[in-house]
Amino acid sequence: MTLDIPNFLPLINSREYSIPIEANFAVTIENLFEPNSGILDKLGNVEEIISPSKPFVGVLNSDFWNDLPNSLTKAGIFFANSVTVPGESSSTARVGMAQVNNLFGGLLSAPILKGRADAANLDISFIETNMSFVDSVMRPWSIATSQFGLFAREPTSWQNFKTNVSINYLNKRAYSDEDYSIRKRITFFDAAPVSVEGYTSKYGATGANVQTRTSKTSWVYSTYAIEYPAFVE
Amino acid sequence: MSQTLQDFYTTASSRGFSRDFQIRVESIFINGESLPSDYLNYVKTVSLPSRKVEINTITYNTVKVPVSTGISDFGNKDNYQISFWADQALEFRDWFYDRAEATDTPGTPMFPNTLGSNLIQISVLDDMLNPVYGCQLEGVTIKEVSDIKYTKEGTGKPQEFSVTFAYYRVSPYTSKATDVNSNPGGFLGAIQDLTSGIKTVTQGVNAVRGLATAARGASNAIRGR
Repeated sequence: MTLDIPNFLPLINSREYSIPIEANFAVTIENLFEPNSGILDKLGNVEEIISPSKPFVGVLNSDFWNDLPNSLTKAGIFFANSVTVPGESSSTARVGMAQVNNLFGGLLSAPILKGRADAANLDISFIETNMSFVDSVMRPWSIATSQFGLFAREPTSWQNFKTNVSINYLNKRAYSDEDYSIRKRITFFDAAPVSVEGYTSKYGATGANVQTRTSKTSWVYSTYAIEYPAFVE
Repeated sequence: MSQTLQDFYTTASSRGFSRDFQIRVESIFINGESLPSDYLNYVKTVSLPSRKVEINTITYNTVKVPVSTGISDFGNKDNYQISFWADQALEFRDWFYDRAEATDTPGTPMFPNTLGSNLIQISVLDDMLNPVYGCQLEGVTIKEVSDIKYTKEGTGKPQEFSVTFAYYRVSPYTSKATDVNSNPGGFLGAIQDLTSGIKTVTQGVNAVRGLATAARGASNAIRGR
């Protein structure tokens, strides 16, 4: 086994082991823009249900969002500019000799596993644009999720507000003639937004008052998968 | 190639040196409008934009290895400065002042960061004042128009102001300006005429010197040296 630099340098310059840029990612949400069966059209259908007496959240017609250039919707939701991918953990304990005043009689107790921790929510932040994606799509979507729950409905059911969300991590540069290749993709299945962060706006000429703003949303999901499309043919 | 003094002279005579005044701002387009060309004569200082690559360092055992993260950007892209002499009525400065104010109007072609219509085009010139290199800044936004300080105790020197820009990217640019050789006239044309005149005289002197050398050679041959 060698630890020499001449062997190390080619490794970090190789396709497989070069060090990526974490900012190179794009979020894609399945079944969002599709006409009739897409989330946007479903939200339009249930607008009166989720805000019955006095509409307090306006759901934009999907036609508006369909005006987004195809290249943008295919390349991902450009509003989504920050994600927090949850980790994975299990809780453990030790059993064996009873502990008395921190003394174990010289014997170690044995580790046991108490179970895998529940999956933490996925966080995605969206940048505020003139036509607010957060307030006109994510906010009513989270209300619809709350209203109709997470029952196992047909994907095309107008009451189904679950979909698949993918975080696509990109190579620094393409290894093909096409565009950036996806070095890693994490897909969260049956995902639905369950919270939209509030925000403060106030008069002021400096700092956060005049800067771009992002709003965090939290998503619940059933399970997730990780693929490596660039490396697995 | 070796690097002797002779090689240095050879390279210098063939490649020349770029001099600090050999630059020209060809045009400035901001928010769909072009800076009137006579304003460009008052450009005093301008620089070619830089290029920057972010480097991170990872440590392998005890060795620090600098690794390019691949983020290649333009240095100073949010702080690019051009300085101007101020005309008496401050019209040049006012042009930028108005454009800076207009960046507050989104949703129209006036909106900044428009690649096609917000440009600064720069040419580097050779000794004959012909463009030999060019670049353009795209997506230009005015960030600041500097103040001008006046004082009754001044020495009367011309006033200057600077404009700070932000831009999105730099791309190659080829000047469409007619070079001074085919369009002599004005101050630059006069310099050009003068230069070619001197060159003609020098060539004549060299020819005479060549003849003298040849005659001396012939004379030496006759004497049998």
